[in-house]
Amino acid sequence: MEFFTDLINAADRVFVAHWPLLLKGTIDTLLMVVFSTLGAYVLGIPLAVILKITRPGSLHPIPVVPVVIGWIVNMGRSIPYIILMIVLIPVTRAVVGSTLSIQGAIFPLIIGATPFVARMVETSFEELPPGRVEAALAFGASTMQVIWKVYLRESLPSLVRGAAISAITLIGYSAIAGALGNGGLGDVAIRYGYNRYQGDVMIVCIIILVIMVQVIQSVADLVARKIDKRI
Amino acid sequence: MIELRGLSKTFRSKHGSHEALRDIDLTIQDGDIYGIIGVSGAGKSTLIRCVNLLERPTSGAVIIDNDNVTNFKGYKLRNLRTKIGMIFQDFSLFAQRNVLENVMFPLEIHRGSRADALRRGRELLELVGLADKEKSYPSQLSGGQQQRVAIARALVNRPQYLLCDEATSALDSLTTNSILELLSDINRELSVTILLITHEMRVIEAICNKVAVIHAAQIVERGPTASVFAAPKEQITKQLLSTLGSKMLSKEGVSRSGGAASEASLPWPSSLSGQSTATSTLMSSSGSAPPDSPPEHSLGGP
Repeated sequence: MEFFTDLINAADRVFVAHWPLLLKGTIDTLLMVVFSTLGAYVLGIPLAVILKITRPGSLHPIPVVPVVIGWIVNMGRSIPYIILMIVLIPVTRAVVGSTLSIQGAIFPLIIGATPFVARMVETSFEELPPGRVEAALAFGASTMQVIWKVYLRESLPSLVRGAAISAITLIGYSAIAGALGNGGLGDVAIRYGYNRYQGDVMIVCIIILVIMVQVIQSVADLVARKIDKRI
Repeated sequence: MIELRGLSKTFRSKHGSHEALRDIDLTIQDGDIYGIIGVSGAGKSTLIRCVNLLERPTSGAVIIDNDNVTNFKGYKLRNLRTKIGMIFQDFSLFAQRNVLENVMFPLEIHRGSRADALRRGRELLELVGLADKEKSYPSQLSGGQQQRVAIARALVNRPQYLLCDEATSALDSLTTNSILELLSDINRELSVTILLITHEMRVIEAICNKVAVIHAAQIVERGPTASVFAAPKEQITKQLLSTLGSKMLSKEGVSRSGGAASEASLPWPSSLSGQSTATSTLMSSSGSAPPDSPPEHSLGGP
């Protein structure tokens, strides 16, 4: 009990002393996570759809397509994010104009998370009973209608749960972006906790990150349960 | 009229090839309730899926209303499929849509007016006796109710044909009876031609006017249900019929213990007078304690 009281008191002191820094870090982390999650889904969903419908036995089997995309996706996932970010520096500079700050972080975060998101979304599609796609086809649905009305609509609760996992993964990635000077709570934790030996600041950063993860997960669970019409 | 001419289907995979259908010839006349029976793996599922081209035959032709549709693609294929409703063993309802939205799905696909779709959807729910369930979700319904929703969905486009892929195999026997009764009513009153596949002889016995027996990828015997039942030629037919015999015996036992049964209470198409007595006895005694009671149908014209 005493440990927790001490911890709360210490956290309180850190907040009073560093709140502008922590507030900015929190906002930066949230911005990075929100925009990169959105971006990764904008790219990842079409990729997952292409992967799904070109598989053998699916709507438009083109055996080479899932193999090539699968290979690229796996390659993307096998590069540790910190290295991917460094490798992408010239590309980021060309696309965004700067590798610093939030804008500079979001582009490599999207590139890093897209393969992950594509796999998450594809897994959600795989969970659907194949009979549902078949039923839609039997009633004359086109490929686009199957994609919208069966794959996306029927797996929506699963997609929401997957989005929480993706967003939480991106919190981790964004901390790495912090290590390369892009801001956010990761940046604060490393600069103060590691470089300046201010462990208390680092602990507070961790507490904020933990709360953030809990909130994202709880909200996603709540939404998924609300929209899921299965019992 | 649905005609299958020299239909063959061979599945090829890394592990070799599997012949699911060999040289199938079949004619389903308008107004038929045509039953195809066979044991698991006989090829019946592939056969019914070839009719609406969910499965492409390797060779042979599918001719619907004198139109060779075997190579239909895109718009023509989607349009053809509106003429052919289908129901499935696992119902294949959309879990995230409520009952009414499920029934309206085929209309939504073809972009009619929403008001018409709503009216038509409710009409069909009325027909299958689930008018009070339109806001429910499939997970809240019993198996029999789900299959009724699936039937409503399959009929919403006013199809000429209805394909039933093991439609009652996941249902208990009393629910099966109520679904079969509904199918029979639909055939008679909406003039929908029905092609069904099953592994249960009692389904054939209850509603089919014609039957074909499929075994090891081929149709080995066919004809009007009454004559096939009266004089089965093939060993496999006799075996399938014998399963019916033993079931009939056990059912007779059940209905006897069930007590009073008035045979004339339900209009049941009987193909074989000898055996259908037992069936109709069961049908009427089922009315006393139905787990999934067959509701009153108001079969309006489509």
